[in-house]
Amino acid sequence: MTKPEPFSRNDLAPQRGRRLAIVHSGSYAHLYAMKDPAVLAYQPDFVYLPDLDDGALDGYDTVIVGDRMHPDLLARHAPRFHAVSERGGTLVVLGENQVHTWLPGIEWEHRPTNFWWWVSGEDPLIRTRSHEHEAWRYLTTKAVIWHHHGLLRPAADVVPLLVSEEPDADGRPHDAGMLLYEDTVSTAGRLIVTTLDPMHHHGSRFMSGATRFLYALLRWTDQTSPSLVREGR
Amino acid sequence: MGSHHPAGAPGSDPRLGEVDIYRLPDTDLRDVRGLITCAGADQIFLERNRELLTGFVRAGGRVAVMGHPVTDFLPGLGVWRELDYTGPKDLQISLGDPHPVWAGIDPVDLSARKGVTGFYSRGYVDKLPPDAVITTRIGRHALPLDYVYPLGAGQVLVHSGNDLINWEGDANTAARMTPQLIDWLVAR
Repeated sequence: MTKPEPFSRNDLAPQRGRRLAIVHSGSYAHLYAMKDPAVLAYQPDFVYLPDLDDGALDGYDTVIVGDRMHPDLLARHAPRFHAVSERGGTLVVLGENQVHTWLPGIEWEHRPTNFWWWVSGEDPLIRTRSHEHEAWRYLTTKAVIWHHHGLLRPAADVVPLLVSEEPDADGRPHDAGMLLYEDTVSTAGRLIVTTLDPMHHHGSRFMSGATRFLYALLRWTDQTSPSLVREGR
Repeated sequence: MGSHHPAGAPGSDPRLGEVDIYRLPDTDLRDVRGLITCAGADQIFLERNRELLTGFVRAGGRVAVMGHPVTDFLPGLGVWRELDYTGPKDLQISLGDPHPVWAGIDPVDLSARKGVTGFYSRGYVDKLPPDAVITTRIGRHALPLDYVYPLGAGQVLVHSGNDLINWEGDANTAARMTPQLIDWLVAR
């Protein structure tokens, strides 16, 4: 616990505990998100990926792996990330992280990114699923339907939250892969994996849907974090 | 990110090599004339290598900085400020002082891509060095955006947006920025 100093101010709530860690890359977008008061309201500790060491992620309810991180560094630290959900915590992996190369049981397939569908009138084919899931208390369609970076196909029986509904070989719509899912079966804890890259776009100040997703994700994981549930709050 | 082809990536301009940022301190820069720091670069790491980068420029090298400079990794970097934009005119790009990287470029091609505004940048730059040349401007008030300034015997170019070389595939004058940027970087 940080000792409150009457004449020295900072952004750390004295009772913040180890609720949330956000692993960042040092990119301008991540550095911007780290100064955003709406993010700071969740009292994250920010962990710089190149300096990640043993114990840095211990005890956190939720660890968010920022988007667009260096693939070799992610792969090197994969056991530390995996351990978060293995011990019962929540691990969130954001997009453009080649997650299929360092988390087990995930296939990924490229899809071109369409930045223009909302102007050209094309159907982005992005659909929400599992509407009974608690995530939809926080996420809106504006927060999740903007663009994506490929499709995830996890081997485990996960809860699909956002999918790409594409024509199959016979032209019939089918769910070709996931853009966002929750997995509570592969580990003792929870894995939330997405192809969306909200920290990048929020930090670039370019895509209001990305900002909505980042804020809603923080609220979703915060409100459903294990320690809150355990304490019956 | 993470790719490392110091002698040039297959299929790219042979003058352009790729160095993984974390290998930069171990890279022999004696025969390198210019550097591009990409928009997604780790600026904490860049700041830890401020002496290396500053020494490279002061000795005559050229550095093109992409993205919003947040850390103080080179002397003289301005401060990026977000524009409170509500429509395309708030983000339209106009050309400023002539510069070879933007020569022959129609600012209309930078202002919108397939009808979407904002790809080029969403803000302007404040606290510029007094000897900076402002090469592009943004919005209704033509606020400073891209700029180039001398540092020792070298120069620093800053584009506060995504990598300029990402425009290489656009079917208009914006594509010229990539070869012209490389021309400028190697022209020391």
